Amino acid sequence: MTCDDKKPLVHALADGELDVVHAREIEAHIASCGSCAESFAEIVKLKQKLASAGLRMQAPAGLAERIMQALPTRVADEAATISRATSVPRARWRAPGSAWRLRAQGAFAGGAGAFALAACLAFFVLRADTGNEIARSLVDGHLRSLAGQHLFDVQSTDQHTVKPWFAGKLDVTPPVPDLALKGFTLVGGRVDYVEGRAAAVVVYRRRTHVINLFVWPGTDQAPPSLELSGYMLRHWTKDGLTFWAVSDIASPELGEFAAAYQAAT
Amino acid sequence: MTEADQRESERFHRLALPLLDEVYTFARYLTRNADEAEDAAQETYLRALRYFSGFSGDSIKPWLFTILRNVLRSRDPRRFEPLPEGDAGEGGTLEPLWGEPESDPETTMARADDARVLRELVGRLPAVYREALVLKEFNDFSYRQIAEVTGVPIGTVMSRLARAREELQTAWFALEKKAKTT
Repeated sequence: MTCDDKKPLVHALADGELDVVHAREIEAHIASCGSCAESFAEIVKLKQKLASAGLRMQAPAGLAERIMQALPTRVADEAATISRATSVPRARWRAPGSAWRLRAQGAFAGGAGAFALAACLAFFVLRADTGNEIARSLVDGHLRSLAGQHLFDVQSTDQHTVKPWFAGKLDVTPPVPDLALKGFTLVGGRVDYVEGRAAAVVVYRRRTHVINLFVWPGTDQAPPSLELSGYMLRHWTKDGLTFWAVSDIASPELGEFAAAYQAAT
Repeated sequence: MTEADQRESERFHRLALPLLDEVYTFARYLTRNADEAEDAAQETYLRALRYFSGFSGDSIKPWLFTILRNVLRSRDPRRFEPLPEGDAGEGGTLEPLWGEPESDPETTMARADDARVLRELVGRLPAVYREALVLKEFNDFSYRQIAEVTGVPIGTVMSRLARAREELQTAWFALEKKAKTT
């Protein structure tokens, strides 16, 4: 990873969004990199400036009152005129859709300028190949896990802990071989969602790099090897299961992982 | 009004009304106009109440802000559209920001009113950067919540936030430099 790639993670560190492992990694980098240290200090300074009271605003005095007055009659009106449908709000609040997102990417890619949009960012992936929804979802899932949001549901280096954990959660129990001797450390597992379906994710680590292995039932057709925005994907099927490995390690190394995993299962 | 409606209404008061200042803040930064922000906030609460029976999550804030964002977008369908290629920003082509006198950062800087200058500079950021920044810094949303409310992947949220801060810093330094030389 170059410094440009790390930039969003430096912001994420300042925002307290990184998990312990990644926070430590970025802190170590900052300690040894003058320019990243400087930008981190500037981000913190800016955040402090923005925290000043004058920037958050207060609603005008009469507004709360007007809303409060409107509420009870509103409830009565609604009850009288429509039977209060419960299905509406969910759909509504998911409204901003992917069409919008795709338009965003085009514009971003164009106006990017100096900032390293080639960084570890999902929308860039989309621009490269908008047809490949599944790969995008996988890289999104990978990035989400790296952003410290959701790397493990179960954290264990013991295959006999991780495998049974899946059994209770999903209708698929992926093989969880111990690949430590091949240089891939098992670190845990989680349930994630790829294009709306539940997937088992087995998480391995190679040095400081995370490998997310997504597994779901079915034998989907896909190219065996893909690269999106610097992320490598490997795809294979076995015993009625579809496997996708996603990581930022070099392609041959991920190939090594795929081979080691398949050999052990 | 039935007793159940009464209870719902009370629950709504308790959960949603304390967020009014935050809703207003977001609306104000996005519209840059006090009257419009007030209208949008009010409409948001009325819509939210209408849909409240379907709200079952544990966190009302992202839910409420998603409605707010829809309200803002329905009032100006192009509000959250990213900039056309090559357009550096919104500054300069619009009516005076905030509709306030003396809101020109160049003159305000001299009075060392940092908050006011920053508010102005935030208001000049392109809308998609601005909303990410405001949600993070003024509304205390997590990356995940911002992604949820704005309907983009977390990676996009991260890059927008980085861009927003970068542009804000650049604008700030430019003003500082100007203030020193004059």
